[in-house]
Amino acid sequence: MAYSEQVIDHYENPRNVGKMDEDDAHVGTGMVGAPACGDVMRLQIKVNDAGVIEDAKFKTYGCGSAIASSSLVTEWMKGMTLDQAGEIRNSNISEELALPPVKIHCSVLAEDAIKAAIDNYKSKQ
Amino acid sequence: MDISQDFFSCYGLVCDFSIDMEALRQTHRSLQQQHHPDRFVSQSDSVQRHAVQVTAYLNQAYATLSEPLLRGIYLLQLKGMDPLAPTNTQMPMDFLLQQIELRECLEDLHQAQDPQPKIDAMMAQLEAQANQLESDFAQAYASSHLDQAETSVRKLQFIVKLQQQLDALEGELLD
Repeated sequence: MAYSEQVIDHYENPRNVGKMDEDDAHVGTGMVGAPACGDVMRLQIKVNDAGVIEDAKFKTYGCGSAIASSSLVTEWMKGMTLDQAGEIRNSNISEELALPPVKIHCSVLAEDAIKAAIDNYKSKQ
Repeated sequence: MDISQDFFSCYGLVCDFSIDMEALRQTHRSLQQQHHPDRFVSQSDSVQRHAVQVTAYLNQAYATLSEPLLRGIYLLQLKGMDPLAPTNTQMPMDFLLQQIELRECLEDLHQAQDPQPKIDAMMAQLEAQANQLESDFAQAYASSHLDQAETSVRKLQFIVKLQQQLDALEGELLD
């Protein structure tokens, strides 16, 4: 299976890899896992008082598509409101990265990580 | 031989997580010999085709039942469940945290000075965890707590993946 150029670019130059302070009230942390392939993803957002995502970081242990999916969404989410970020669908991610059908679950993982991070942030407010 | 029956029935085993591995091995060997395609070369195409299908079925059945992870997944599939559904990404938080830590350790092993003792320690840890999850699964399945059984087998999938990665790393470092 060949990876698309977009996937390879995000895989080789992943954006926003890192970790934020989970105890910070402005930080929401989402962790999800895909048993089908054993991938694990941690996605974090930093939200300002206006409800806008100022920063996003991720760490993904998984295949190229899973890393690219999470790298892409951290770029997308910066500057979005929580509602806007909550509207990101796995189909948006898989289209942008031209993921083949067998790798769609990687984009599902990223969508679920966004939701989990938003829920975690809201639960702290 | 009926290749639409479940894998346990074809070996005359009770549909359960605990199985007699020696009985499985022996029955598999005798069924394999009995249905080996080489024995049917002089017979009709349909008989030959059936022998090939039975052999493929037996190989899959044996591979599934002899691995605890695959056996657990299969048992739940027989109950109509899909433990590895790609749309189900929710796992217990403490488990995912531990998974991230273990994967960070694995990453660090690439640069470690004397990695072998660390690899051995991690292998032992994963082995213990896998054994625990297998016994959790057996207990939950036996008492028909299928949701708990599903959680155990989903966790086991992550542990087995780590074991494979650790094996691969050990192979790389030995080269």
